[in-house]
Amino acid sequence: MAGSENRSDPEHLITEHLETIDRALAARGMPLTERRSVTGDVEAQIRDMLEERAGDEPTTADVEAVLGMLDAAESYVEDGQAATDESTPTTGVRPSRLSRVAVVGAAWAPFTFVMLLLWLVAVPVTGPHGSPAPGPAWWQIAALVVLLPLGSLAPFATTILGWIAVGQIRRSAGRLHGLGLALADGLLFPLLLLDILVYMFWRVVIAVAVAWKTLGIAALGRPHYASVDRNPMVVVVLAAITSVVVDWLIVRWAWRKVARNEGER
Amino acid sequence: MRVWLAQLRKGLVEPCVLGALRQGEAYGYQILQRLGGAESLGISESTVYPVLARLAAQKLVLVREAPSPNGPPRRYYRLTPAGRARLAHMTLCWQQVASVVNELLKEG
Repeated sequence: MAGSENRSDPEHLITEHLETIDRALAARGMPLTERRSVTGDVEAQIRDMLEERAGDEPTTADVEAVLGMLDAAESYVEDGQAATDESTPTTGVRPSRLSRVAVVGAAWAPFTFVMLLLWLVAVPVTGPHGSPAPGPAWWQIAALVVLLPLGSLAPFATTILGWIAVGQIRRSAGRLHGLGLALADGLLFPLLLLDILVYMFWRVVIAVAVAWKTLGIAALGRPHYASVDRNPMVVVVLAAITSVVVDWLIVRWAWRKVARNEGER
Repeated sequence: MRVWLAQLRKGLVEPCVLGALRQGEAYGYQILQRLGGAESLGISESTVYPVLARLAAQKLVLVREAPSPNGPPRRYYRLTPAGRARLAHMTLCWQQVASVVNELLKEG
């Protein structure tokens, strides 16, 4: 109910009209600065017409009447033709669609995790006489064989497809969306690799620190991994905190970079 | 016929907008009102504003923002020297074309 009231709000109608125009202009490849110029002029005209018609307090009916006097948003699709060519049906605003490349990349990624799960976790099965059977279940082996190529290629495929999708979306002038998904594809496995490196870094640091503390400075070159592996929580916590911070900084930097560049186009 | 008319009008939008600015600086709606007298041109905001944005990008018009009493700032457009030169060139071309076409279409 609140939603329907909001949709008929005068300001909402104006915003919706301007956004539709912006999408139409983007669909024909107009740069953002020029689109802002056009929508700014249209909005100024709408405000002037509303002032002439209704003064300071325009109602929804006033806004609808003013918008009815203006060209339809679809008229902006083609420069200078749609508004004057009555015989040629307008093509309409091509709706923006989700990048298929980004979707394929995202769909591919889970195969790695499923493959690792099947590899590492053997489902216990019982033998013909109720005794535990040696090795995992036959279906687990079959699934692993099927998933092995997909899962082992996924880190490369998802990353490559993600960055291809980022490029396509940025060049699409609004015809494609899903930049967040594409960026997630492009960064997922590189960041996981970075997280593993962060874990290894802390493992070495803690092992060196333990060796130093227990054996003195002479043991600096002989990290004490055994004690670290007996109680890995310190390394895990440090690695987790570092990974979260580093990943967040990288994602924020990358997002700002691709989103800003998309806007400038 | 209508396609031909649309194409003809399409080509005339830019010189008409530049011509409207020869009268002096104006914001978008004012330019539309200046062009409103030439109804047969069929020019409306969906043709004029994108052309204005393109002319600004090509530095043929200068844009100045000024507060409006009715909402967002108004964008005032005025011709640059390059815009005046473009208009002069277009005017010359149009006169030559119009002269030839008038002669060809003149009834017997």
